[in-house]
Amino acid sequence: MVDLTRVCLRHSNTILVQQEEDNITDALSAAREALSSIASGLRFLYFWAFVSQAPPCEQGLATFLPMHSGSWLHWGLIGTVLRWSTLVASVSIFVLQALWRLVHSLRRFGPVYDVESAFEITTSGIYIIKLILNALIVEESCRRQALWQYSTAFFALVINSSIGIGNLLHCKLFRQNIQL
Amino acid sequence: MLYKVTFSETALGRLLLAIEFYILIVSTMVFTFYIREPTSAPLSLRDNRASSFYGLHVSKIDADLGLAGEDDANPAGSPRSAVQRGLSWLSWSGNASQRLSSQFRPSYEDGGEPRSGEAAERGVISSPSEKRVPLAVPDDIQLSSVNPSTPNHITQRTPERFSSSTTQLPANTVYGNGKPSTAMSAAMTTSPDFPILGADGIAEAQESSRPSRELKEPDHSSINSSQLSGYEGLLREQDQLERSIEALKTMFERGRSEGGRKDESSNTVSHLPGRSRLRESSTTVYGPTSASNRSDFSLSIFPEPPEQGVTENLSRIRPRSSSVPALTPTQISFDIGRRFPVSTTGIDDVAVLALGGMESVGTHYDVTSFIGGASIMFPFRGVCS
Repeated sequence: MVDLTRVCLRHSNTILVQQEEDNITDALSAAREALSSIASGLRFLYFWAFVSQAPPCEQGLATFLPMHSGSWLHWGLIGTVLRWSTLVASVSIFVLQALWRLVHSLRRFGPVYDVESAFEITTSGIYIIKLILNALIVEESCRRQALWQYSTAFFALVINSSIGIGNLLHCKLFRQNIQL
Repeated sequence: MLYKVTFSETALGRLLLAIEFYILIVSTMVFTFYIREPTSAPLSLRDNRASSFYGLHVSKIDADLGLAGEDDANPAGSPRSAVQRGLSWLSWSGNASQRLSSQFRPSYEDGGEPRSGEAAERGVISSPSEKRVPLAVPDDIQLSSVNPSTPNHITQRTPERFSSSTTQLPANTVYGNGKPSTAMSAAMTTSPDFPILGADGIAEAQESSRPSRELKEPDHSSINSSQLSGYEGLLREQDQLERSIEALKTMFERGRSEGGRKDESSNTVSHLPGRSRLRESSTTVYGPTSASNRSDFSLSIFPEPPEQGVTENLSRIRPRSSSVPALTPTQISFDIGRRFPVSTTGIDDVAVLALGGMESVGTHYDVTSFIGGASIMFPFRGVCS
């Protein structure tokens, strides 16, 4: 919506209007970048909460089980560390993206950008492994169902990690001199 | 001109992000509204199913076994009154035997009244262990084999048809034809249409001119439950009690007039081979019998008490005994029954023990404790005395 608004504003030809529109366009660009970083952070936070939940086939029994299959406590200290580290990473992804998207000095292809991309890849990998482990420790009768229900999350996390990998590749595009 | 751009800003990156968001949104909605719906649908179906069973009577036994829910709970939310429940019970009493669990069915196949479940629902508390008493009915048990001259209340109280080779408690040793065992005796007393013995038992008693067969002490549980059974049940129970009292008086007078009770009782049971004998002294079960009456027992013929009698009497003796409550009557009787086949001559003892409220029960135990084997069968006897 923000990008469409910017495109619509560029069709004005008068100089006065274009000057005013530049200010508006900058504001809209900042808003778009901020919303994109928030969306990325919320996406990872969603996955952080998703992998901590019981598998859908166990959700009816979650109140009767001392520890459901999605609990991080199954994995002891490592699980606890990974739990909170992934939470921090998810928040960090939002913060780092906001930095390299909004701060001009950090704009594009700096260390912040690389770190943020590495966080995305690592966190997505941890979530994928966690979902696999969740499906492995459920009851055998429920395992296939759990894997099937996790398949969409697997696919989404693979896309997440692939986007992070693509960001690290520093894609170079040939494009015309168009100010975005 | 080449520019470095982030992958997420490219068309492919944005497409992938769009696909990812689309997948997440769709999967979340599916798992939220589609996958969980089958789990919530049976709940509504279960409620509908429960409402379809409104009015059906579920026995306490089935409820205890987890086969049914709470029957008294009205699906509409309004509790049913006691009169309504009593009337519904009356309408269902004819099919009571069909609603008992299969665990009890063998003991009722001979036409007995399986009312323990209904009685339990009506307030009579019976322990689960009592409900699960295996009810082995000896084949040689025949009601017709009972001597008509035998006082009928003794017939009910003493295992006259008790097989000496049977190590388990027969179901019909306490009551007449097809009556539940002691585990269900308390429950049966609350039956409104047959508060003491059961419909079949009454019929037999009337046909065989044995009015004392209906004798039974109305315990508090039966009275309380009869209040729940409505006016019909109360009136019926009152009639039964009156007839029982009359029969008791008649029998007691007859018993006092007759002399030589021991011989008579031995003669009475003499033509019951392999079965328990009855003593005339036991005819005073419900009468004002004193300790001297039962001190006439002869040690030479005094029998070993059977299990059933012990089971019944322990519950009665328990208030006077300090150590007996450590073991439930059922446990004691079964332990004894497994190890020691019960002698048929123990019926007298059982009959006397069945007196319950008599004050001389302890003295009676002292006498029997000197009989060989009796002390083994009754390790608590010394305590009781």
